[in-house]
Amino acid sequence: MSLVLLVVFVVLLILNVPVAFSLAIASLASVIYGGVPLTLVIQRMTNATDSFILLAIPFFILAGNLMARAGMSQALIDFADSLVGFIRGGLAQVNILTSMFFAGITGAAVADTSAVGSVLIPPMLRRGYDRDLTTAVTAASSTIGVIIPPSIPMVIFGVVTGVSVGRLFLAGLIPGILVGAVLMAITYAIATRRRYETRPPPRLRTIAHSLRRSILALLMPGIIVGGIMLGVFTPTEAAVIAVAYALLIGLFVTRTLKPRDLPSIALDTAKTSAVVMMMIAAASLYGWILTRERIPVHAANAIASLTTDPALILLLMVGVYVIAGTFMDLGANIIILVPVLFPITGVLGIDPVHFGVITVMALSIGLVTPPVGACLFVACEISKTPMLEATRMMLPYILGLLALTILLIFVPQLALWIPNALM
Amino acid sequence: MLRVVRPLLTLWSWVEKLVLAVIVLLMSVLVMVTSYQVFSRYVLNHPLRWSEELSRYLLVWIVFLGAWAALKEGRHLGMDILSRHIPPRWRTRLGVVVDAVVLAFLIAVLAIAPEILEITSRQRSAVLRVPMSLIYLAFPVGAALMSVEIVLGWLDPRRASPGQVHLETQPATLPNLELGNPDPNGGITQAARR
Repeated sequence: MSLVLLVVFVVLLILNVPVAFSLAIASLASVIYGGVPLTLVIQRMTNATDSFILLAIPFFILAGNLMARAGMSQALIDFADSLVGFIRGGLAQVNILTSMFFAGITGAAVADTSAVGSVLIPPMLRRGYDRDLTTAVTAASSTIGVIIPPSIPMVIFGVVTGVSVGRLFLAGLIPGILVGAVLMAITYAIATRRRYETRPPPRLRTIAHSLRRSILALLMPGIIVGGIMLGVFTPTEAAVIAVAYALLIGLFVTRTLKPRDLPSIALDTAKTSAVVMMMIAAASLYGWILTRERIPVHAANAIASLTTDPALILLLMVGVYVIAGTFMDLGANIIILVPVLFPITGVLGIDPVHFGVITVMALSIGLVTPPVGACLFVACEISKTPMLEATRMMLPYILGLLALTILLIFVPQLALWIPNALM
Repeated sequence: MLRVVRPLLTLWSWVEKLVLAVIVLLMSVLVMVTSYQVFSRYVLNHPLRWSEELSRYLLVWIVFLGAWAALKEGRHLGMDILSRHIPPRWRTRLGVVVDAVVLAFLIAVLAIAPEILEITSRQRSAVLRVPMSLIYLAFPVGAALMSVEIVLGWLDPRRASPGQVHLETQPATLPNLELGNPDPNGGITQAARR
C-alpha cells in the first residue's frame, strides 16, 4: 500500500499533475489497493478544510490584497527612505526595510515582491542602480515576508504538525529581523564595491514627518504581532482584525479602495486560498495513509540508525529542503516533506517550534532560486531582467540566507526566546 | 460538432457566472460573520458558538468552489520539470494525459459521493444542527464543476485546464496589485551612482 502511495505520487508529480491532485490520486490508488473504504477520500479531505486555524490563510491573503490596494506602499517606502536611505546603496537598503514592513502585513513572500518591487524597481533603475542588483535585492528581501509574522507557510506548518501557530509566528520575529540585517550588510558590501553614492543622514524632523504619514500602515503589524504576543488574539482572529483594518483604511482613510473593487479582490483571494487549501486537504488524506503505514516511524528509525546528533540531522534536513525548494513551491514542500520529517525531530527531542522556523527559512531559499523561485521570477518580470543575469547576483544573498539558517540550527534561542518568554 | 457545443458553452457560461457570484457571496458572509464573532467576543464580551461553526463550513465551500475557479485559470501548483524540457507537440499530448488523470479522479469522487452523503445526511452539526451532508456536498459539487471544465477544455482549446499548468502563471497576485498611483520619484531625491 505504501509503495503504491509513493510511486503513483512521484510519477504524477513528474507528469506535471498539480500537487494537490497528485497527492489525492496517489491516496485514492492506495486506498483502492489496500481495501480501505473509499469514502475516506471525501471524508478526510473535507474534514481537513473544516478548520478554524486554516481560516487564517484566506484572511491573511485578503488583508495583504486589501493593504496593497489601500495605497500605503508609497508612505512605507518614504518612511524606510528617511531611516536607511542615507546608507551606501540607499534605495537598495530602502527596498529591504520596506520588505520587512510589508512582511508584517502580508503572510506571503510573492505578495511582498510584487508590492515592493512594482513601486521601487522603476525608480531604482532610473537612478542608475544596476539591473541585477535591483532584481536580486527585491527578490531576496521578500523572503522575509514568510519569516516575520504573519506567515502563511507557518500556518501550514502549524496545521500539518499541530504546533501552535501563535508560537511559530513569534518565533519568526528575531530570525526575520536578522535576515533583514544580513541582507542589508551584504548590500552595503556590494554598494561599496560598486561605488554607489551616499547622502547625509536625515534630520529627525524628516523621519518624524514620514512616520506620521505611514503610521496607519505600520500599526497593522503592530496589531497583529502585539495581539498574538500578549495572548489576546489567536492567529485567525488577528487575521480577521487585519482584514477589517485594511478595509477601513482603504475605503475611508486613503480612499484608493473602491467598493466596486471588492468582489474581484474577494474572488482572487478565494482562488489563491483554494490552491493552498486543496493541497492541505489532499496532504491530510495522504498523511493519514502514511501514518497508518507507519512510514514516518520507519524513516525515523532509518535515520536514527545513521546518527542521533540533532544538529547533524537538522543540517541534513536543511540540505533536503534547499534541494526540494529549487523544484517546488514552499507551501507544497511543507505539505509533502514535513509529515515525514516532523516525527523524526520528535524522537530526537528537537523543539517543534525551532524545527518549524528552520523549515520555513530553509525552504524560503527556494523562492529565490531558479527555475521555479516565484519571488525571483516576479522580480525579473518587473525589472525586465533575464533570470540568468539576476541569478549570479542572487548568489551572495542565497549564501547569506543559508548561513543564517545554519546559525539558527546551533542557536535555537534566536527562535525560541520570544515565544518561551511570552507564551 | 461545434453546433452542439456552442449552446452548451453558453449555458455553461451562465453556470460559471452564478458560481463565481456564489463564491464572492460566501467570502463576504465569511468576513462579516468572523468579524462579528471577534467583535462579540472582545467588545460585547459575549463569545458566540454558532459563528465559528458557520465560518468553518463557509470555508469548506469556498475551498472546493474556489478549486474549480483556480483550475479554470490553471492556477493549481504543479512541477513542470518534465514538460518544460519536451517539444511543444509532446507538451500538448502530456497535457491531455494530465487532464485525463485528473478527470478520472474527479469522476471517482463523484462515484463515491452518494455513499458518504447518505451516511452524513443522518448526522447533524453540533451547534447549527444542519445535516452534515450539506458540508460533505461541497467536494462533489466542486468535482462536478471541475470535470465539466476539463471536458470543455478539450472541446474548446482556448480554455485552460490542469494539463496546461505552468509555474510561470503562478504568481497570480501580481496583476491584482495595482498600487494606486505611485509618485514616480517616490520622494526620493538622490542619484545612486557617482
